[in-house]
Amino acid sequence: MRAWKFGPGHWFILPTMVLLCMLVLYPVASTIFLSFTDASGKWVGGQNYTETLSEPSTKRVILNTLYYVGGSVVLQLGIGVLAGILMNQKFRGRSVVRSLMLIPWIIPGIVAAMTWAWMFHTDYGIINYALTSAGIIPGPIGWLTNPNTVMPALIAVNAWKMFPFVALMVLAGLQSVPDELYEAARIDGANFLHEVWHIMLPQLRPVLVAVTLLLVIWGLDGITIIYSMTGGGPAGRSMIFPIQIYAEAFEFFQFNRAAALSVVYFLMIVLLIAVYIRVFAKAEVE
Amino acid sequence: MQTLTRDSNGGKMFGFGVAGGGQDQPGNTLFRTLPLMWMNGGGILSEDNQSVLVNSPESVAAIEMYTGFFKDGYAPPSTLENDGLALRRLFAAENIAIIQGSQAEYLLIKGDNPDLDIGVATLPHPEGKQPASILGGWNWIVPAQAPNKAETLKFLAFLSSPENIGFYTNTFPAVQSAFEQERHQNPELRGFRDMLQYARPQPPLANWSQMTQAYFESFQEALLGQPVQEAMDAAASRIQPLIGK
Repeated sequence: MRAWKFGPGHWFILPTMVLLCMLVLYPVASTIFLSFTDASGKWVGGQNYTETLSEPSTKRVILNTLYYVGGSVVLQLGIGVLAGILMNQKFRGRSVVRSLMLIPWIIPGIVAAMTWAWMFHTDYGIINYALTSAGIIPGPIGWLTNPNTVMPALIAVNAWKMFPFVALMVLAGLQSVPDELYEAARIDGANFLHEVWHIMLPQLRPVLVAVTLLLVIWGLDGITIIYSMTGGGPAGRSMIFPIQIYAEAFEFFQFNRAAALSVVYFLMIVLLIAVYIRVFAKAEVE
Repeated sequence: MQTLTRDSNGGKMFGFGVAGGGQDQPGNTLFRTLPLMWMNGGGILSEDNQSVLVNSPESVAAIEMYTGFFKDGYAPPSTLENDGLALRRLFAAENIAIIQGSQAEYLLIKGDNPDLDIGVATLPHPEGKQPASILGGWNWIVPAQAPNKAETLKFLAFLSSPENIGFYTNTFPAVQSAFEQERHQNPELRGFRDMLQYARPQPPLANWSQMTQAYFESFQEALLGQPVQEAMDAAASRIQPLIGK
């Protein structure tokens, strides 16, 4: 058995570990403790958990969160991969298009959300104006107020905001694919679609696995778009878990219930990411 | 309301502004609907705050009337996006003919559109019943353990004197006696002053914000088409467990 020895390496990482303990471990431990107490600090066991989880709105909030994150990631990946592949082709003005493509990602989230909220506005939004003027829809649609359209509209905004990041990663991944692969495929009679399916996508797999994980994490903890565009409405139809936690804590001042929801959400995220890593990242190693 | 809802200046003018959504919620909807419930004998809670009234026939009738403006097409299609600020802007832009508002909003509208010919009327009430309005604003709070409590209380007593309350506001003093000051004799604000005698505060309950959120979500359900009684029954079932907690 090897004796554990405190060496120079440990000294080097000590400041980081102390900082991590202060900024991560302590808040997590404090939140867990808060979730088992009441406002006066008295131990209440699992009461905060049973109360919050038995709320009829909690099921809807979980489903909304999964729908929002799932829909956003699928759309972000789909559009991002397409854009990345297109940006990898040789055409006139490619540098300009590549730069312009980054704009949605660069714009601050709150600015983008407020701009889209105005564009989606039922009475004065440019989207309804364009669609009604062109005769595509007979009258204005309440994009952000109709229960059937609010989530797709928010997912579309989230996809628009983040697809340039995916495209950029895909572009970087494609530039490392050796030309010999394409040349060999062309000799065998492959067309562009064959190249995409049999060369680009398999070669991009490691990039896409990492990017998807990042998109899922950002989707799960992102509140800017929904909070500023709908606030979770109408009637809770776009309420997602992080906004519900925020409302419990800072609108209702129910910090213990908010802590219980945070712990549940944290466990859900850990589980989701653990499964993802086990399935995809492991397959990648193999 | 039918006459007021019409085509106007190449756009559409709507008769009434309903606060059904937007950022400043649930407060904006509460301030506009709670007086309607009160003056009809209803409310969200009873006067002793011990029972839920939001699904009583009186409250439901009041909410049916208010949401009816939207369902009947007298309020803009964007109603579920409109909070108090949006309604004020739509009114100043002459897209809405009538809004409920405060004295502060009246003066802001005059500033936004000085040419607009506007008037103030007190909120109508059901025949044979009392008018009602709601008190809003902020409170001065001195923590019990504050280090300079005595001095702070002395300073607040100074600020709260009718002369200073009347002097340090641009619109409306929070003390009735300050209305005697010359600068508060604006006849255009008379209607707001008249309603003060019928004003009621919101219940001082720790869970009030949760209750109003539950009410607001059910109110939006009613705007989305759910029968008002059904929506308010759902609100009542969420509010009931919060009483006394």
